[in-house]
Amino acid sequence: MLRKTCMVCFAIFVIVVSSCAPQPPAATQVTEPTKAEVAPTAVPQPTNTEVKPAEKAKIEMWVGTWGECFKPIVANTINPNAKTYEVIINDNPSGTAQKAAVSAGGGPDILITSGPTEARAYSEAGLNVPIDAYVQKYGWDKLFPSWALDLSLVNGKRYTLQAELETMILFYNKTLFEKKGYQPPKTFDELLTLAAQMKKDGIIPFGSAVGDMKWPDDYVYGEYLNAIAGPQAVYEALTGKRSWTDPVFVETFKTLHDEARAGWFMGGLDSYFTKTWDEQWAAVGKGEAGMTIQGTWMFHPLSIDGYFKDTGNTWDWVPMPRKDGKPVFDIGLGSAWAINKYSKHPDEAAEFLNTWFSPDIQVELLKTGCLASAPVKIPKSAMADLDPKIVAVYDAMDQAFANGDYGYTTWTFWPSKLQTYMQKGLEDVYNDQLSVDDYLKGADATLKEALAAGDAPPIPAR
Amino acid sequence: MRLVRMNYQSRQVLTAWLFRSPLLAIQFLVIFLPAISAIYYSLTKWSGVGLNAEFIGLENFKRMLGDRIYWLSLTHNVTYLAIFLTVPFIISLLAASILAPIKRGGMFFRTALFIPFIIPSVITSFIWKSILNPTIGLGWLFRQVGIPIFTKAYLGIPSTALYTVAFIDNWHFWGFLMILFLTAMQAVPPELYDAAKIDGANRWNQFRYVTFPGIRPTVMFMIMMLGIWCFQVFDWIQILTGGGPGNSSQVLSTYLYQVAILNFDAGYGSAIGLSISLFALLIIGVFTFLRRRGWEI
Repeated sequence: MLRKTCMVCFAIFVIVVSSCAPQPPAATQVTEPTKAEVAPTAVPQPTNTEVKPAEKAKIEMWVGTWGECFKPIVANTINPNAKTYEVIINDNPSGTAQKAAVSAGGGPDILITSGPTEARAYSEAGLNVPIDAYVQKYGWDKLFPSWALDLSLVNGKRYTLQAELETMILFYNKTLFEKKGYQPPKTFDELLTLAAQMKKDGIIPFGSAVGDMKWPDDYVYGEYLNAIAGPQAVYEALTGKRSWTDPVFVETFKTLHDEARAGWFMGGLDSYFTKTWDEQWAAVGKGEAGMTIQGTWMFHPLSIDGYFKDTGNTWDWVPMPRKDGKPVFDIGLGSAWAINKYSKHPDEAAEFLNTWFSPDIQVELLKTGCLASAPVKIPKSAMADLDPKIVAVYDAMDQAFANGDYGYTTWTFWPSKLQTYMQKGLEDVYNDQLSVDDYLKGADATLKEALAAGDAPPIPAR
Repeated sequence: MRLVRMNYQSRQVLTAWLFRSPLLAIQFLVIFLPAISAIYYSLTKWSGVGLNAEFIGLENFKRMLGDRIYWLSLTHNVTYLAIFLTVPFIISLLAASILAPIKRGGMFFRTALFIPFIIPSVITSFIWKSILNPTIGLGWLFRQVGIPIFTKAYLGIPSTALYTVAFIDNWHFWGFLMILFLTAMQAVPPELYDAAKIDGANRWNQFRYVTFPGIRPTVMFMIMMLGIWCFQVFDWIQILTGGGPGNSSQVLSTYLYQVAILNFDAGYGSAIGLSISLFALLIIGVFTFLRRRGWEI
């Protein structure tokens, strides 16, 4: 009887534990990292016969909702032409699941993170392969501007390639402007005057709401900082050379506070805090709101979907105006790509990255409308078929960056703690639960902490 | 294999442990080990990525003592608890008392009032967000008949955001409490009610002197559980307000999420998580102490 009991219990134990066993890592086993920083392994030259598919290295990446965009490019362009690797796209999300997988010694070969800040956490934990040798081998220093490569510096080594170059602009309802005789603003003072006029006319100046996503908080205060205080002051603040309690920042946030309480954003604070992303855009589309401060990623959705489609209205954009009258183009990077330390094929992964970040593939991505291109040099001729509005913004950005006229977006250049503090604290400022002075003192303290802990992304010198 | 001869009692004990062993193994792997690692990580500076946590002793806990947002979040948890220890209890006791004697149609009401509890929080939150939207919800409906109420977005006002979330969570929860009390009430012997009626007790006196003492163990148990759950509340706050506007509806678990996931400060997040567990242990400790003193709980 006892023997039977023991066998039954053991059988139950085995069944239960085996059903709870983790799935084997999708792509890789734990291996020693290759010495990529010394010299990458030479890619074997193809002989007269093509490498058989079975011998190609499998390079996996987790892309979440980007699968629809990436799969056609990978299937039709990249894989057929790749001699040494085959890219496998997995719809697993690249966020928390990837973090857990990589921490456990697995995960995809290509690590996609939400930007330099998250990528830094991986690099500091030693979970990315340094890419300096690949930068030399593939000439990425000629393809990417130095500021983009240097954003991934950790202890003197580079680890990631930046993707999705975006900028913030002022979208407006063109039909409404024509009807009311409004002129798109060229300076910040013109913007303030225009917004005040709109309020008088019963139009919400800015369609901006954080009911389902907090990003518009960042868009607005980031743009106001660059527009009022100026990019140089923001740079100095982010590098600890200027205090956040400086009068230029006090002026910025007092302006924001007053405008928010006057109902310039979504008509009132309760609407600002509860309306959704779709509702804010619907308001602009219908002409209930006149303008909105958003990123160039909106070009594609605006061109295909219903915010303006069924309203009879059209939209346009202008650069975000600055106090000194010069347009501001803030640098925003949507993601950072790296090679997993545990990848069995880091050299092939680097080869794939070289293909992915080539101007041809980046233009293809732009044409799909799913993603902005990486900050790589793209010949003008390659962009001939694109929407003229997109070409215009890239032209304007190129010129501005060449002149040093760029600003800073929060998700690219702020340490994560400072970003969270300023976003949450700003809402408290709007609600008069925190004074501007205390808010900025807190920002100072938070940044000092991040700089001391080495948690701040490196800001390229202006 | 040669089995050692055991007496009957020892074999029974061994058999019981063998049947428990699969569950204990799972508990060990899934609950105990992560709990121990959470204690360890609370003593470290750790980004949450990789395994390179730097031991810093009690620094995270010292930081917690001076963290304004932590104490504000704790205050909100206590407020949440105060709401839940009153409103759903009163409503569910009342509803259970009314439904208990109903035989015909009672099942319909019990089912209808229980349904909100089984709807996932994401769906309930979405429905209530729409209902409370002044543009398309109740506010719009009442405006059509000329009544200007529900004109504000209560989830977006700092002074009402937390109470609005509590209201929605209450709407979802009190049906469950009602079913528990109803079940407990049905275990009260009917002879006691007969005796009370003979003694001239009205409905209120019957409730006070017969029903409530009979269901007191259930009530006290639910007070203890609510105490624990109110410190763990996360999904309702996160979905409906994200702890906002600002920090006006921030609670400990949403703050933990912000710190550990958004700030890449999982060490400090673990310390916050540990403090939530300590509050729960404190509540259990109080109840255990009172029970040992002879309280019927």
